[in-house]
Amino acid sequence: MLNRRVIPRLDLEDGKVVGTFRYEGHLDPSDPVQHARLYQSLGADELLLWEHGGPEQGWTTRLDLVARLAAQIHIPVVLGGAINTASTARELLNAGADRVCLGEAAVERPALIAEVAGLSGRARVMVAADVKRRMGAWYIFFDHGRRPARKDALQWAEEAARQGAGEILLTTIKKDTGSRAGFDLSLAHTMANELPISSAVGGDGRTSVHFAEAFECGVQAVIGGAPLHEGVVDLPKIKALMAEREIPVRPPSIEEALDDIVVGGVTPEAPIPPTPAAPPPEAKTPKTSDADPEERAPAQEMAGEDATLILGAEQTDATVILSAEQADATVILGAEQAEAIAKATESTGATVSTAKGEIIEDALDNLWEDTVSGAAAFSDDDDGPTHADDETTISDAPAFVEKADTKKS
Amino acid sequence: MQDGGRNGRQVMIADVGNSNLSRLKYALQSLGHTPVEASTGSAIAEAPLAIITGSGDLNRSFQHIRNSGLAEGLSARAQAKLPTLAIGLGALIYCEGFADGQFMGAGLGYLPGIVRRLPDQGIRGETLINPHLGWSDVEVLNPSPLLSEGAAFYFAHERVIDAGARWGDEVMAQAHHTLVFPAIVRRDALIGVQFHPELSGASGLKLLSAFCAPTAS
Repeated sequence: MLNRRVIPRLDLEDGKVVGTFRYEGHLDPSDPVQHARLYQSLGADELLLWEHGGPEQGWTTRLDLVARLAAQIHIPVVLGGAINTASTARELLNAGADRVCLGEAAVERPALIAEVAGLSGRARVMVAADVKRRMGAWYIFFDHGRRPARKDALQWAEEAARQGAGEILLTTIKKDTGSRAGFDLSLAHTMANELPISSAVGGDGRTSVHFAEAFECGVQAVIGGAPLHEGVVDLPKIKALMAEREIPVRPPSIEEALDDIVVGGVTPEAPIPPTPAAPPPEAKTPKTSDADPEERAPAQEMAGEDATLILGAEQTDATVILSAEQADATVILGAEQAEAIAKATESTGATVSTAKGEIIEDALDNLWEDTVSGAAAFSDDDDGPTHADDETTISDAPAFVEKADTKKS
Repeated sequence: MQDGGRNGRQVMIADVGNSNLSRLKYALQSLGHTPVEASTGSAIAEAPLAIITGSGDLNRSFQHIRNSGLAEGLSARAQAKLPTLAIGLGALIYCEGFADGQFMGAGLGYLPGIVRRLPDQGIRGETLINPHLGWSDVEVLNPSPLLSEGAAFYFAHERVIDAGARWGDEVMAQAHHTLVFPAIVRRDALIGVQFHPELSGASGLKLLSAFCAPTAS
């Protein structure tokens, strides 16, 4: 079964992430790699990074960033924005992008899609456009909706598929007043039924129900933007609701997700300040916290602020972990760290919960509680409508199981 | 050839066309192994452990491996039964032949089956999504340390292996997208995977780790 994908989208300007984030204070909000790692650990199926700078500030000037992403992310990464030529696309695909997403350039000149797909295969080419609904059809707009392309979005999407696009993303631009939050389900339904390739929608998804509804229209992927970053909607909750509604979803496992963050031994410098370097092999045996003070330095340094420490599976050095605990940092643990802690606490008498699963889940809970700014972020807005709206899914959405891979032409 | 202490091993990696070697390289490094990029056929032929990957156009890829001498190296290591993991297009070129509508011909012939394009239309004329893109569940047919039941992997492909009458012991796992197709095929020490373990998160890293483990044959 092909699982439906939830894809967080990060918007960049000159290589820095822009927007509001619930994790601010816990990680460098401008560093795309830190956001990407967090979403990877939360079960994102893929990541879309969109650079809004022009070609001069575009991705080709940031191959170091592409390499850092490639080194630390083990799920697919799609790069979009300012990709105007086949050679740029190729450069990014070779540098570590798994897919490129062609935007305005592919609207202006669909042949660009064929040039990229011919070389790298259709599966590595995504195309995207922002759309507004006018008189029962969707039209493409540039510059955040300010400049009309004067093209019918679905006609262009069909042309893009003929040219060799592997997936199409249409994002509805939020209307000024009176519009209901959520994705444009009519658009999602139309794309899923009329396009011969995988379709994805973006828009104002503010609850788990919004995401589930879009998937129930048959699209393969849904893009999460600002509401996801701000904590208005929560990735694990979206996936839980998808599973509840029998939408095919990649099974999320906390432990597996945490194991996914393998930190040690990768060449580009690990950019997350609070993450201590992987301990050398000889330091791997758990130590008690009265070890050499020198060794506690990394965690001490981050004690100044309310840091989050995400540890890889190999970082079993209990000293680092315990000093982080003392520094009141939030620690996310894998199974091995939990064991190391258990051993260390026995000898030091420190009060740390020792049950493996609890530590992991508690740590994750703590992360949420600590990072969500204000109760509103986790308000019942997310869960309340989840059940209330269960019956209000658009009635013409076909039964999900039957729709798995086929659609009527 | 051991390297890097602990259980780190040197892994020869080779690209048979337009693939994303950097992701594979970093995935291996994060597991403590040392990837070495192979440029010649003889380097591939002799490496104790090798991973072959590729994406893009089948015909172009085949011309590339023929012209560069990689083809001889790939065949030689299959004949010598050296542990080899072939990913995506890398697996397809090891199959017996191609009949994908654009390109017909013989493959290297060390993995079972004929490579065909995924169908664009069903028997009732309905449109079928091609390429197959995303995380699909993989069903284990022959248990192995490479994966556990219920794991999902990331697929990105337009062609599949049609194992036909050879659908037997050599197909270790299968997946489903418009049709049921082999996800992992194996003959002797040569393992072909249709998905991309280097992009498949924890499941993928586990598979790479199991393949590189000294006990893997």
